[in-house]
Amino acid sequence: MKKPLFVLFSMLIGLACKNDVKPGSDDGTPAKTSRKTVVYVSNYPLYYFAQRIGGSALDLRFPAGNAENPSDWMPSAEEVSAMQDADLILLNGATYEGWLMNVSLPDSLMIDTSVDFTSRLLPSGATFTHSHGADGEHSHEGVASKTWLDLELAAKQAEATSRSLMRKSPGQVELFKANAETLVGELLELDREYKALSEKGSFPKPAFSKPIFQYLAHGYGLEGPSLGWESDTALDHDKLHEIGHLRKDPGIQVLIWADRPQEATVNKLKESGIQSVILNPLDTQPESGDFLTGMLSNLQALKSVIPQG
Amino acid sequence: MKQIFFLAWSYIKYYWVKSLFLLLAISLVIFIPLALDLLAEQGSEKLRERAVATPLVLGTRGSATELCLSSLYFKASKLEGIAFSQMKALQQDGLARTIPLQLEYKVKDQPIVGTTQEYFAFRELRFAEGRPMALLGECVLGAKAARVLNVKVGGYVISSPAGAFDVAGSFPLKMSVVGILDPTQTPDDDAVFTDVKTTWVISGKAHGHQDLDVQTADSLLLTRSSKGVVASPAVLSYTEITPENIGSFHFHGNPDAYQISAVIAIPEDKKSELMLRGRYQQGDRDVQLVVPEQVIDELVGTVVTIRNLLVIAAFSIGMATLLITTLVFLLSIQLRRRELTTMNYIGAARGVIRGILLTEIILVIGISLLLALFYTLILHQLGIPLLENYLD
Repeated sequence: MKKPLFVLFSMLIGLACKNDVKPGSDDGTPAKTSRKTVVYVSNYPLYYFAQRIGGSALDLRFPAGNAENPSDWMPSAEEVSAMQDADLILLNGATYEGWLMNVSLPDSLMIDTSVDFTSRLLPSGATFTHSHGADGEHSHEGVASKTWLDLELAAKQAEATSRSLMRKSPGQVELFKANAETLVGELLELDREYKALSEKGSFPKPAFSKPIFQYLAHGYGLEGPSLGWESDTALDHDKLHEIGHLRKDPGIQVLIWADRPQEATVNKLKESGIQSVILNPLDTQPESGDFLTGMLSNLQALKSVIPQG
Repeated sequence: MKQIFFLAWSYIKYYWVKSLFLLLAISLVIFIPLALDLLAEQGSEKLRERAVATPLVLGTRGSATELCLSSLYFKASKLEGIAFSQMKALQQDGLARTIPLQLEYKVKDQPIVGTTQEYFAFRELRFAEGRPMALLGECVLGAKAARVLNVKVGGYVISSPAGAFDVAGSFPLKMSVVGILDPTQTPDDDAVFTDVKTTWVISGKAHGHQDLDVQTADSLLLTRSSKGVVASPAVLSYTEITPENIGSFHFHGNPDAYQISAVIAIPEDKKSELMLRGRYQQGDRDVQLVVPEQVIDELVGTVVTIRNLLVIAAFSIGMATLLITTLVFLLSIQLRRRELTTMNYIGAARGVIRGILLTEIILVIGISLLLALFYTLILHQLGIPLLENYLD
């Protein structure tokens, strides 16, 4: 009988001494070391803004950089997992990130850099009409997303980038602020040059191969119809017929392309009295130069079709 | 003294069956009120613990208790959902961080919790294996959900229709399991976590299907015109989201109007909390912002009242049992009269005999107390999980 009593007491003491171990209290993770602020961006303009403002203080990542069109990029699960560990995810907004609804990212990390000017967002011109079952037909009008092509809006996006970076790195506020002011100044300076394009009504009436230059057209008085032409497709009879009408009625003199068209197309258009201009929408990093030099090249390309004198 | 203890202990050992019954009876009488008190205390503490850790909950107007039980413990609720835009409105001024909860669907009996990755950090949930959901259609299982559903990372679970008469109301979606959480002994163990957008796929707000614009899809069309196409029922709506078809998934309408069940709000500071509470106390809103701690305290108050009644009942039964035990001791002395007389004849003084009897009683009551304490400690360690398993 002595033995069971001893066992009972041992168990009582054992149970009484057992600590309540809360799950997750044993961290086991290494102590946080100081590291660069990890910032993901969804397109090249934001990459450029963040790089100019944050410089080497940031670990800047642009996973869609190799995609032909970062707007249509679809991240892998591994890429999304890496983004979940970021300090900041800079988004263009204006429906640019088509992949965003298909991934799981924390709201607290994502900054929509165009949220301050939602009232200035433009329709894309594309209307998607469909119906499901008995719900009846309904339409959705798309939103144009290449906001940075209006440099005034690009400057606002740079300011939003700067604000979010300063919130994440309070120790670098002065540096980021100074860099942002310089960048915004350069963007607005270039914006003034763009605005001068159509000031005297000297810019010939343009048309666009694709509906992607809405902000450029609206911001700088270059409105014109969008034809929905692919640069790698040859001009057929229907297209020539269409361009003939456009040449006569609104008086189209310039066709603005997002990619280099076929040489034959350029020549045929020239014969019809229409000059071709190639602008880089700058979703991705240009082969040479940067965002500002890219926009400057675009400006020079536009200036080249203005009749002299 | 040593001899008295030896004789008393020898008597208890010799009549071990009688002693055992006495020990069990007395220990249980002491244990029952202690157990009721402990279970009520632990249950209340567990309820409060989760409520205290959840600063504010936004949900539709109606029963605040139902809203809290649903959003904190994932209990089925009949409350209407709120528009996703309500969450955006709440976070607009930067007074609080927000975590959405969509709790409408289940995988068998396990609740699907449509939320964001921030929920894991908020509840300090750790991964036993795998990672948080990253893409549409991925899910993370609580420890118990993984056990009950018998699924591992790399496996899949299928959402159940919302009800027996709702076979077309929600889309069974095959979700791939990408992570399993460590056990926490909280309702999170039972849940199937996925991104809130995946629950919208289940609800039919978003879906993916075969491309209807390509020539190969002609056999799947009823009509094709310049305005658009009309698909036949043969068009395959995907019931699983894979890397190959994820690009075809699209949302219909404005996601801001989509429904969520509730929102957990984490104010930046006390001032922000007070500002938010004040804002939502104005009566012209369709939603309410509640403080779970207050709501659960009220609920616990009711539990404590019931517990007090039960303890009084148990105490009364205990008193009656102790009276019966006293009677047992007295009768036992009567039955042992010859034995006690013999002890007296062989030289034991009256005081020694009284001492032996008293030591026997003290030993029985003492061991009973220890046994009751032992039961209580066992209950303290295993009580709530055992009770939860039993109730399941």
